[in-house]
Amino acid sequence: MIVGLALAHAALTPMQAQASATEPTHLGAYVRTIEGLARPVAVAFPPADGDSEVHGLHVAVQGALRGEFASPPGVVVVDAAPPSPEDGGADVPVAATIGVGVLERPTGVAVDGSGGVWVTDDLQHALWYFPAGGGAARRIAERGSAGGELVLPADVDVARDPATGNDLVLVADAGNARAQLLDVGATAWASIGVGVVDEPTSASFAPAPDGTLLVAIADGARHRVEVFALDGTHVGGFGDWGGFPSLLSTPTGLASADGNVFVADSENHRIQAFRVDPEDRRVGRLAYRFGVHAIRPGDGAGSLHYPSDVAVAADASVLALTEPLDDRVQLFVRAPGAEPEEDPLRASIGPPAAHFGPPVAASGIYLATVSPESHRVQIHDLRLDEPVRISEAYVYGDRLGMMRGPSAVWLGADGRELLTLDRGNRRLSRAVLDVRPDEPLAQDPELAQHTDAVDLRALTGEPAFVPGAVARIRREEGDLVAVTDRGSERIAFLDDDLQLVRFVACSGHGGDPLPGIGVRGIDGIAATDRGTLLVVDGAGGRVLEVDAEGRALASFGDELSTPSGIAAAGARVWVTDRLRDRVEIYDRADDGTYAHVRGFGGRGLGRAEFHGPRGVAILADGRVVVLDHGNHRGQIFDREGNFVGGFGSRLYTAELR
Amino acid sequence: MIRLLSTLPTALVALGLAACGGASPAEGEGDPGSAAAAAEGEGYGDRATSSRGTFVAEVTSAAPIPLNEPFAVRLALVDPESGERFEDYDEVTIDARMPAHQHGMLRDVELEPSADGALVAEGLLFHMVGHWEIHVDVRRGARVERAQLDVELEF
Amino acid sequence: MGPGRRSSLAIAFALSGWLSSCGDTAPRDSALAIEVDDGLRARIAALSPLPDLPPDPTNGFADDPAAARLGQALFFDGRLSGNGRVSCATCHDPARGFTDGRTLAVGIAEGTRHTPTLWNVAHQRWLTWDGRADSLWMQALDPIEDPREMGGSRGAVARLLRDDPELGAAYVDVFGPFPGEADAGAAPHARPARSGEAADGPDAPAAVQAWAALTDEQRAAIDRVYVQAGKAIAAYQRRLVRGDAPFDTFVAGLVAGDEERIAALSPAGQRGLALFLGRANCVLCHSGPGFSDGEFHNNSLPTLHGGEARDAGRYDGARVVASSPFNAAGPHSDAPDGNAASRVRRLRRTSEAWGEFRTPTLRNLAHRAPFMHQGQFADLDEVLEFYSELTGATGRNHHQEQILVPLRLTEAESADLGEFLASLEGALARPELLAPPPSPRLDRSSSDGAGSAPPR
Repeated sequence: MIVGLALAHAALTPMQAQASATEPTHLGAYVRTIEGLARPVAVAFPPADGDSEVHGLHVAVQGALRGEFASPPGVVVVDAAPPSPEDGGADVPVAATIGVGVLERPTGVAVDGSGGVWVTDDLQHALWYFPAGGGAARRIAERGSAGGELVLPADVDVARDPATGNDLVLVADAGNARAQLLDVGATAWASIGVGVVDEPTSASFAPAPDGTLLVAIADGARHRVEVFALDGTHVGGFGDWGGFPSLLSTPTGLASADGNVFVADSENHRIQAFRVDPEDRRVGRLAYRFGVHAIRPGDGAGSLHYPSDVAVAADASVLALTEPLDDRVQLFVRAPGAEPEEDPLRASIGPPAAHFGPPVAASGIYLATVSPESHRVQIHDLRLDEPVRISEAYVYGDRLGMMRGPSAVWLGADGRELLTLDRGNRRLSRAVLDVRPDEPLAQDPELAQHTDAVDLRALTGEPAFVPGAVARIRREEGDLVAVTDRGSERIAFLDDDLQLVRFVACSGHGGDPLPGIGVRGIDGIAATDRGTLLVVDGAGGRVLEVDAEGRALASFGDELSTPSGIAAAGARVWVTDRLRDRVEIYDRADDGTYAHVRGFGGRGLGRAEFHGPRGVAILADGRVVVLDHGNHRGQIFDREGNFVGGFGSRLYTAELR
Repeated sequence: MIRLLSTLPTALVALGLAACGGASPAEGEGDPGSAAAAAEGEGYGDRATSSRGTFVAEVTSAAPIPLNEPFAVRLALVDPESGERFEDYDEVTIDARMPAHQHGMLRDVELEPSADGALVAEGLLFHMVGHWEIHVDVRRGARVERAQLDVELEF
Repeated sequence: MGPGRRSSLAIAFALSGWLSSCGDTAPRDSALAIEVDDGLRARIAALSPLPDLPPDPTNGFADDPAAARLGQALFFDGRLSGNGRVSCATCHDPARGFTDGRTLAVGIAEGTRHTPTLWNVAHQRWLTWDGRADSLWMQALDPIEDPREMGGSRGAVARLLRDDPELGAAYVDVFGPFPGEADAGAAPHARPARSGEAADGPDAPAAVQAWAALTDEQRAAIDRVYVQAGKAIAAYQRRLVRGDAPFDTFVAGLVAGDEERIAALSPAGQRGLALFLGRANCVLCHSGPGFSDGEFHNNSLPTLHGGEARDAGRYDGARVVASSPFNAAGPHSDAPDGNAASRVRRLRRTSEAWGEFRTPTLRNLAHRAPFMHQGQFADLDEVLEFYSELTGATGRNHHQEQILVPLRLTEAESADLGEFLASLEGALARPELLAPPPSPRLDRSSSDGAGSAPPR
């Protein structure tokens, strides 16, 4: 396999870097892009004292089933040495692939001194070890919340303990809101960060100025990085939610070099380097930052788009970051000066504010979208051809009426009822919206009144409840609210008073699977007007219909590969297929079976083209809104799938007009 | 929007409140426990039933809510059916926000029990004119439920 | 909730609909050039007069004339600084409205912010642009040790007060005998590490190393003298009051129905006032007789250096004030359980405060140019131009409070607002406060200068 490469020559060559060793330099000069990787989510370099080539970049790819770059999930190894000018334009050969056929949805990767590769897989809730030289893979941890068990692990790092010489493995155990540290020599696990971190998205070892090893954990819910001693003592943390310098918006990756911890500040589309010193009252002080959001679709060459992970080679000559939405890795090398010169682009465009989160919901003439950067739910009026934003509900925080990472929205009662899930508070929140469809179109900043909420972990007793999707099921015998738990692949059914009615297992995890069900990678759900629930089996590539007791009634979707969002109205069902960039339409027959009607899509910016379509919602008049997540826009179709309009930032909607 | 609650216990009037003399951002330093500090004029009082009808929140202040001056409120939680004091909860908090400006108060306030069984919060401060929402959130187990009161602050 | 709060689509969220528009239907043959109904009259009256000074129980010497006299002497004394030449008055120049006319303050070196005025400073709830102090005395202490401001140290200040006969006598007059351990031995230039400095070891500044070498008792004694110096300076600064502006005369006339006093505000100034309270809605933040809500806002101001804002403002200030031993709740406060202590204990710190700066008072603007926390606007015309068009506004963050919309002021409206602001220039009541006193000790037998009670 060969992956594409683009090259820039703005930075120091290794020789220049060496020559100017006495002058201060920093990491952050863009040098080249490795393109065509299928959803790369994590990167790692081998340690300096190991057996592997220090520039052998290990990239965890979640895989794709489309196009010329079709590839399975796994780890690919490429040479990420800083290029010399004569390299210009050459392709980068893939040196090795690891874990193909074993891994299903890798989330983190690390390389130890012997060349062994550690990988977390959140679909399997597993930690895997792949010995150097192709020995048999070993699964180290199973799903669960006890010591040595994992739920939705998000990242892994490995380092040698300077005190014992043992290898230490650190896993961000996202579902259990902790990191776990494995002393490989002693085969003993310890939990770190319990009660301090809410949503560990990344975990990394970081050397302290005194030579001891620290543990840094990125908390995606609190937008902070917490720092611990190896014995688990919390020594402090840094960061806070926001877009200004030193603030973070969903940090998802960590790496250490030069005495700095580099943070993939994903929703600010930048890398920030913090000088970490436990002796400093602030623990982490911003050293510098680089990266600006891409202006045009696909912009690269130093413009960043949701960087998910970051790694620095052991010789600190090159920094690599992954951008899964753009299927690429970008490399940065050293440049003169203690920090980058301020990018004039940054001042002129400011922080991004026009993104839409994956979920979308509709009811009556109203549409609810999520702004991932602001943690707000935006309410739009769709009486005209295009949505007009009339209000925002929720702000960032942990009180009622606040969100930390909204993951799902549901709108009902002709736009009067809003249900929202958020990852950080692991909560279902409700609000009533004072919408007035019969009055002239008007903005109302006070549209939402926040009424109540429920802590899903406390309600269900499931310590690793990770809310995924929500829907209200209308039934004559009383409505139910269905909330999916990504951590246990279960569905919690709540009554109108938000009391738990039942908690139904959709897989073998955490309970007995119901006959006919075996969902893995539970994603969107939608209620039908018959009082049943359609459940997207994201990894299984299908849709299940279940009743309110959790009994499977139907299964369909042979066309689907990675279904994500779903919406139903009458007998018609719309499903988005995330990695195939498609939308598929189904109709339910009188006998309860579902037939594929048509589908459309493909990667692109044109009409009915998508980039990772996610949420889908149906308005009262039959129009369908597809949240085209990677293109930062929504597309509107009529009932038959004909394009009728779009909305979103101008540069991403130009080809729709 | 500032209404006097006709059913207010008369003892409330003696409740000590922060001084609200001059509208200076330095705030009065009058003794918040002194009844003499209560300003003349109608106080604030309002009640709201919580979103699910679980409780009624009565929020009162012996003096009008001032602009940019600290003030105290008394909170009584009432069972809507029995009219008795509502005590079946794990936690209660009070806070306020200006939804139109997307900000809240710049300070945290705590509810302290008072001798008559109600709750008192001191040190609330509304630093801008306009519509403020007072949020009384009651947590019972995993659930939290809100009663919301509205204040239109003019000057 | 009701339909009245809904704004039309042409108006951004920020403008709430309740403001009455104040037309220019001027009554003829009256000094009153605008139509004033009872509601508007009440709102105008809420802006004047400047109230009595709020007491400061955290400073037991706040209203002690002898303390104020000592504080006045210290305020003008360059010996408080590291190089012996920079005093408080270097930046807070009385002849320039207690500012310095520069964009960024220059003490020992150039700082990062513009010098704020001290007029009516005792009316502020939080001090400095980012509110890192919650009392005047706490505020007075920080610049002395800031390497870019005065570059001094508490050890040197304590030594100066002990060693200088006049200052020492004045100190003893007010505060009683020096604490026994205040003599810090051979290293008077001693202070704790500041944020970002090494607290010990070879990388620590010499003064910090000297501080580390002191005993706890010596440090406590130095802190005590240092705090008393701050309380003396605060007692002086409390007296820097300027009310009684033409606008105050106008308001008094309006309330009394006195045409002669109403005429103190020109027709243009009255129109500016109506704009200030009405369409321009400046009063949203510049509220009360101090023309400041005393709180913090991010108005997306262009930066002096161009590009993105780097100063965290209130976000840092809130951290500093909440954690300082010199705050109102700390061991040096004379009212550690008072209202101010409760205020700082309850302080809510969120990242929404990043880049927010304190609303400055609009009284006594005449000598204070340039304006804003970096002095980014050379004069009031530039300020009004910014709020009119928001030209050069820096990128907003995702989550800030929503306040600003471009006002689109006409030239005439800008001129009216300027005229109104000019009417806020107060009378200069006590010129003796604008220069060093003849002696740091108050002659209690005479009624000179600082000996009188503080003005209201």
